[in-house]
Amino acid sequence: MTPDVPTVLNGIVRALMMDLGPELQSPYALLTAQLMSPLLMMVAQEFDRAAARLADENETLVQLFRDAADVVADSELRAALADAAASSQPSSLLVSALRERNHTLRALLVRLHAHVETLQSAAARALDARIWAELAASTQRRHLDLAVG
Amino acid sequence: MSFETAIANYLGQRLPGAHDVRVTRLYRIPGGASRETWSVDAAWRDDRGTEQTRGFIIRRDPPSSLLDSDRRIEFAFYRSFANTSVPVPKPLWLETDPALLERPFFVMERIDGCDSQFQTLISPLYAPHRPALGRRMYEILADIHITALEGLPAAEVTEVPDAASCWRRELDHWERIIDQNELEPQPIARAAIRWMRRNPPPPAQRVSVVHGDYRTGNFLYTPEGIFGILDWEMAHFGDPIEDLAWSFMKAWQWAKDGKPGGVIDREEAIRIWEARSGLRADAAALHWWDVFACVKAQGIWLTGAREFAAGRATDILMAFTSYWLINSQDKFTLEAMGRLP
Repeated sequence: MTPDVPTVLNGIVRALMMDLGPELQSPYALLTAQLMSPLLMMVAQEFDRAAARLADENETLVQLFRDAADVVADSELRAALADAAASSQPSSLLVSALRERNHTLRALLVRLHAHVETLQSAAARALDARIWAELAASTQRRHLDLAVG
Repeated sequence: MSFETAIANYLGQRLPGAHDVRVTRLYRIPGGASRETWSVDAAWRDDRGTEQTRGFIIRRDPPSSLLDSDRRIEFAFYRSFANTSVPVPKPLWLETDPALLERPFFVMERIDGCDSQFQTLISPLYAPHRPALGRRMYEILADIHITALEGLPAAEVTEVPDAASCWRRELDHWERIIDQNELEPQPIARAAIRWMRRNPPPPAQRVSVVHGDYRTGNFLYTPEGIFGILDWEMAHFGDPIEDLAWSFMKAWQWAKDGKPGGVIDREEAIRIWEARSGLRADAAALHWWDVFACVKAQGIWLTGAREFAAGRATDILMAFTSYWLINSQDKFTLEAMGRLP
């Protein structure tokens, strides 16, 4: 069995910090090595969780779009939301496929949010609040331990 | 021809009466996301045969960068503040001929004996000096903002907007940057932009020089004071509140103590700036520019991500800022808008 990807990346980080870093003389080379270490640690985290994060977010957005159908006044947008909600997760678990669907859904979320902001009903206000909550949740899903904040 | 030799040949043309110009030390200064910054030690013999030495800074256009900025404008802002109360390195020569050093560049005198790293400034070593440096930081910012625009070299190369359109001009610019560079939809930045358009700030109380990247990390300092304001690549004319808000942004709260730049309380900074400038940091305007600062910063991080992904940039800084800052910046935006639970 080979070491998994996060283990290998974290091993590279250790080598950069412990073995290579002290040998570097140029300030530019040293900073580059210093940046590579936390970058690789973040990449390792993202590699491990990316598929789960994307699948979870995609499903959350689909559910939000289903629930938004009764609030949306624009027929074209309502149809786009229905199409997105009707289509299932891609059969492939490749991160690239999950990410492509995520981009489609998040682009639709931008349209939905802009539309909801123009509506005044209590249901629209509730949906607006739910979208803001989802946006905040999306930053938690993407949080990396080394990120500021 | 090596880079050292090309620089020596160039300086030989530019330094009057200089013979046998040599580059005795050359190194690239880390950071500088918009241009390569090179430190040069040069030595030569003058007409009397006396050995001379001098330090220079070369700011050279990179193959690609976090920012697509105009070196001519940056150089003009350095010229605008040479020999004023706003300390800047002395600008020397602007060169657009790529034959000289492969890409356009400009040259400044190097200010020696100073630090610029925010890490040093927030270290315990600097604790006794931070109050005075924080005060000085916002006094200089006030001096930038009350500088008369008439006759400034920068006013000859870039447009001076009217007070009512400052916000729209900047917002249009940075929305365009996000349009051009986002690798994936940005629902938080887009929501912020829509909010800003629905809730514009009051007209600028004065159209000023706006540094555009005023924060710790972008000036030269010692325990005795601040001796050089750097990184004018985003300088423009506009609402001075823009600089205040940018300097306060959470991304620069390096010490994680709520203090801008880790050096001074926000309210104290505002008091110093208002007293020195005679201007007022209107709360509604400052809030608008707080949100704007988040969107502008996101535009910068997204540009770096785009350049790295496209293979136009190899600087690892751009990949690092993509991972480190894009999501953090979204959180800062939500927080600035009062939308972070």
